[in-house]
Amino acid sequence: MRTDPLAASAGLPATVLGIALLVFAPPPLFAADAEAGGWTMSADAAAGATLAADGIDPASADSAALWVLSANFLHRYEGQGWGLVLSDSLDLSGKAAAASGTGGTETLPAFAPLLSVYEAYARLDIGDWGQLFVGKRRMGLGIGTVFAPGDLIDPRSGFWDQKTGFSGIDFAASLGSDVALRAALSLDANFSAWAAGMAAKSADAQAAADLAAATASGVLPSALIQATKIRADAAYAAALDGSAGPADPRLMTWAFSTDAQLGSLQLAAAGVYRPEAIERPSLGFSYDFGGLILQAEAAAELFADGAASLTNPDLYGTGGFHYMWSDEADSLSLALDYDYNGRAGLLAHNHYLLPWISYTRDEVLNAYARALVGLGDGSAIVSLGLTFYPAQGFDLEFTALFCAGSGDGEFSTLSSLAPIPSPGAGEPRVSCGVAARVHF
Amino acid sequence: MTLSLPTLSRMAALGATLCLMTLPLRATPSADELLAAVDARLFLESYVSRVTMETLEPGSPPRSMTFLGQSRKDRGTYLEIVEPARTRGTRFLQLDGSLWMFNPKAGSANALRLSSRDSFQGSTFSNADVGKSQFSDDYSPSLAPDALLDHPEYGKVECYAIVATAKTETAAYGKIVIYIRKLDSMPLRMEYYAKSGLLFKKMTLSKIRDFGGFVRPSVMTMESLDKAGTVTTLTMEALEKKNVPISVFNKNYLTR
Repeated sequence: MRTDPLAASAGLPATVLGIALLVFAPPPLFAADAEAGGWTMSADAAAGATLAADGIDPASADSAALWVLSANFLHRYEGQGWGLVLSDSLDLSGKAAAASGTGGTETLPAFAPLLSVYEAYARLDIGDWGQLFVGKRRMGLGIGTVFAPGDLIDPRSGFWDQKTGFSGIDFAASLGSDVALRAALSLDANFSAWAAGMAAKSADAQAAADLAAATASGVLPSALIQATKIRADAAYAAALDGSAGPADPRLMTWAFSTDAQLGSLQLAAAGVYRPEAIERPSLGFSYDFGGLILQAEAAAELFADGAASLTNPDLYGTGGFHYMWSDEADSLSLALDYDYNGRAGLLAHNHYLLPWISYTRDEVLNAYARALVGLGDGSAIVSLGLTFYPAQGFDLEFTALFCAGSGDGEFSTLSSLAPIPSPGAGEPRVSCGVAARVHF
Repeated sequence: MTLSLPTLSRMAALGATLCLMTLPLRATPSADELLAAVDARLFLESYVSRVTMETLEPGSPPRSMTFLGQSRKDRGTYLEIVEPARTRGTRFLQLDGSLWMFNPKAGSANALRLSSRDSFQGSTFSNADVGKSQFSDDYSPSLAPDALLDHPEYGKVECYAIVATAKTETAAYGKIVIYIRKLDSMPLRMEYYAKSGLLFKKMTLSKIRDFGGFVRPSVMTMESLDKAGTVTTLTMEALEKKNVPISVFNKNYLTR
């Protein structure tokens, strides 16, 4: 999954570095102590193919194929009172062929290596009750396992709310078994501003160099240089998002979260705050009703339309249930969540449903189906998967992802989900994949 | 040094339990004493363990799983799967009245809440069987007639029997009949009844081992009676008394 667009331009050096990091980074010295913590690694590698098309009918659809070759790694070092975690993936997938369609044959890049770091952080235990984390990390905020309406420190980045983590510091405190407290400071906006500012300055420097060169050659394209400088300044200002600089506290996002267990009832409260940008408290609960887990969470964005407003907040919420039935080797999971989206953002409308069903027969197969259904226009993104386990540590996966509903519906294309861009004039509406995966 | 009343009370209970464990019993002990002895035989106050679980089911390939556990009687149990590779790193936290699972590879930042009555990872054990660190929390005992148990390893064994009846809504079973060897108060057989009263699982405890001074059965074989031929064997490969930090038994540790 391509979660870090900034990493998309990584070239061969990054690939080599990535392989080195992924494979050789864990010092074998730690492995000897794996029983007492030490180093553990959980990894898998997959090879296969994905075909995306802009129509259901293969005869008329533009299509493009992608050879999939990727590996995911989760390294963990644990010592007495500390820990290091690196969760990343290396994607060496490439286009199998150029696509041809009504727009003519497109030349697509044949190889686009991608290194994504989902988490990279250090943990320091504080006594028997606290933990301090520094680095890039996912942090649970609120109660939702499908959607977390209050989570703006690590906001929804895809239709399934996969968390990409945030960079900064967070702190967790445990008050007995039943109460957990977490607080976090995200510096993502500061880092983005710094990176964009550096890019803008670089453009500025290039403009200055152009100016010097032009002056030396006797030509003075002052209007051009001036325009370049204005663009660079504007980019820099935009990157700073109205702040004074990358270190401006107004770019920092703060969050807290707490949850308490009261028998079968769990209560959670959270809040996210960024000066002049975010003020989002949230409340949630879950309840074990004889195996049926009910849960709901609501959040209010108090900083709406450029100003704080206690009387007219944007509301967000989720509610639903999940249930798991198991009988030795067979297990069936069902979940249904309703999602209320108070303001158009990643999702365009207000009301959504997310049904999900999964069946597993241990060591034999897993099958699942899930969908994100827009109740406003009836369109949906549907994801299907069937995985066979023919041998220990070896999976054979078949996946399909398609749009349902009218062509002008919200989910009429897979543009933000399909692993390859539009092959021709149309946007992909269906994507199928097959892959073999090895766990090690 | 001044001992508080609760400490003295705990020491007295421990003393009574030790007597039950080490001396042949002269008279039939009470049901409470026997259940306390079972808890003392099977669980330490605080310990770490490495356990392998293998399930055999007709028509399915054998399923094996190894996990590391950290337990405290007064808190709960934390488990982490180390084998097979497909599920390595998946973690479970059993607390009083709730069970949580966290898969660090799933992409979600939150732990998933599970029901303690469900099967644990496709075995004949329930989540509660694996996570619970003492029976007396959820069950209240009563004496049943003594029994001559036919044990696959020890042959005919004279046993006390107690019926542990669920006293909480969250208990995984309606009742459990426990057979306890008279010689040393070692539990050797447990029969599990659903809340409907149906006997549906039977566990045999065997291969008594000394884990650094803590003697207990190292192999527990759970047989499903409603699915003939389905058996899960849980083998305690290592067990060590250890003061597990309280912070382990919190969702913060689960998602660390």
